[in-house]
Amino acid sequence: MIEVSHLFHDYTGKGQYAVSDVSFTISKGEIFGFLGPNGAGKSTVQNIMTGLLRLQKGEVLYDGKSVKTLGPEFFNRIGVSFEHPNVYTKLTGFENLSYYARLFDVPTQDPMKLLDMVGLREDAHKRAGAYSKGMKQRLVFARALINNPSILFLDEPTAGLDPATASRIKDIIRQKQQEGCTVFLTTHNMFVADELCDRVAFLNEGRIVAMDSPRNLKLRYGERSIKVEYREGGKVKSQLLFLEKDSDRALLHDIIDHYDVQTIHSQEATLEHIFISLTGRELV
Amino acid sequence: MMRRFFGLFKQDLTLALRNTLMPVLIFLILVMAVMVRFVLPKEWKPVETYYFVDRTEDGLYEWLLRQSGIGAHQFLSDEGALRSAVGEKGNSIGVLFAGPTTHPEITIMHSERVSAQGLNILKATLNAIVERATEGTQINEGMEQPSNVKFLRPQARPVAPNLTSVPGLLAFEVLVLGFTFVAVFIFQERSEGTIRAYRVSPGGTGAYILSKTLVFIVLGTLYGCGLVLSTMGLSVNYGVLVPLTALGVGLYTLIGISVASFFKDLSEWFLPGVLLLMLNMMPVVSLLFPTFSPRWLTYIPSYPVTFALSEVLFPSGKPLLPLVGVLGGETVAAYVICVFLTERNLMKEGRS
Repeated sequence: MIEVSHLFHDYTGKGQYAVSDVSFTISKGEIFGFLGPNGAGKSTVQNIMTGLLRLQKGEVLYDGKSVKTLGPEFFNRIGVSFEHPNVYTKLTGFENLSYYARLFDVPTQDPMKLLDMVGLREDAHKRAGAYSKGMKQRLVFARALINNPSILFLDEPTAGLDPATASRIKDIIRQKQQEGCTVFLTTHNMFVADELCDRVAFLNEGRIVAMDSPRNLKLRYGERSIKVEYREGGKVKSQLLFLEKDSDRALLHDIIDHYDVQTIHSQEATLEHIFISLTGRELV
Repeated sequence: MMRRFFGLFKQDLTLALRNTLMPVLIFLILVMAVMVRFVLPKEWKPVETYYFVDRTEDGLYEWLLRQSGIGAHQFLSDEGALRSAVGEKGNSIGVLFAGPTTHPEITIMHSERVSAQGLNILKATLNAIVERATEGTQINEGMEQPSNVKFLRPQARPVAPNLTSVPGLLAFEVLVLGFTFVAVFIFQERSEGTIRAYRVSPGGTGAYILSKTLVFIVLGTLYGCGLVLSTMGLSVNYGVLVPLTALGVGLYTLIGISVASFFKDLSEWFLPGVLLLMLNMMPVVSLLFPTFSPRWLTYIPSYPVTFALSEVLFPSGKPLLPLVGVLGGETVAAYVICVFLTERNLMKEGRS
């Protein structure tokens, strides 16, 4: 169990909080998504949780123990994948993993097996400096798994990856969850969060504005909509209509009665729509 | 624990070898070996040539100087010949004796700058010659032992001038290696972000510092011994040189890490880093000019390194143990400070 309570963080020392009164809990084996646009404070929270950043105010507890008192045994239990691919460019992919593995006091994974898992087996003995950004991202992800962590911190793990590779990474994350791993996923990609997370928290300007499972958030905040395509004057037109609104319902009837309807699709609200409706900001 | 440390050491060594560091070091050794062996003279020959004209009544001074071994070609016939010889040959000095033998008028001529110290010595020597001439004694008579000299230690073997630069070069290069290259390492890890990955591992600060220190101890010691071997051959006590060089590099690597921890990148570090490096080179001046040895200079950590290296290369009988003791104490203190600063500046981010 991870408990984060009343977390504040001020980089400037002038009372300008990058993170303000953030609280949440994560159960064992849960994938918890931390969503928000760039600069919302996601990485700050993750950095405090992993001990990279000093804890100024609030508390972070792992099974009741404060992050301030955690020593090497804590780092043996966690895996961290960074948003910016931070690897030794002068070392090969294999060397990056095998040297990192030696830092741990717990049994570690076979580096080659991990490289194979993320699709880098063939490039294992190339220097990481010659890797593309996506390859480096996969190497960083593989490194996070080297010590069989029970808690995974993943910061934008699919950023810059092609759909097939992103899908492979998502499968690995699900597999780790099945093995009992707790995952803290930081992203601004709502589709990834929707696919993977048991619960998500929306972070905006350092504060949590909503937190629940993606389904509950959609039920609570989402508006059901219908997308209609119809022909008018020889041209195909499209309308997005929200069934909660009387005016939109009347317009739908009008279109069906008077025009040649080509397609009708019901649309669920996406997490992105909900985030926009809650904060007025897009997730970029 | 040892697995972690040696894993880190191997990683850092691999990174060092894959950097341009090694070719640079080998190139520097070659440059210095060539300089010491072939460029610097093996013995200093006096560059001045003295010419004399004796226009006194009986030519006593020419006779006395010839008796003391001055070559015939150094005696010219008249003042004009003296002026043209001095004018033609740079760095030569002309001496003209004129007037009565008992109170000669002596003129010193030179076409290039002569130091005041050199001129004073020359004047004193000429005055002594005049005194002895008027007393009727030979110039060299009784001058071999003008005063009693007691040697506190056995006399050291004279050092060939080309080799006098070796302790300074050794101290300078080896300290630069530890101080500068470890900073480059740290800034590279900062810019690549790999230090952040290390911080979320159980690696710890001690292993981080010691592995880098050991890498530079190995490289610095090999480099230092390579430099000495290529310039002085096997005439040096390597059994003492190796641990001493290792201790010096270790000390300066620790200082280098401590200093680098305050800066974000090489450009930020450059000016203060180079100034500190220059300050640390001051003891080399003291080594070359022993009269310049103010107390504050002895507090600079490179002071015992420089003098201990000099003593190992050119034993003069000075006790080495106090210097090594100071060096050891400084290294322990540097390690403690380095752990504190690395923990504070490199292993954590943000304000507390």
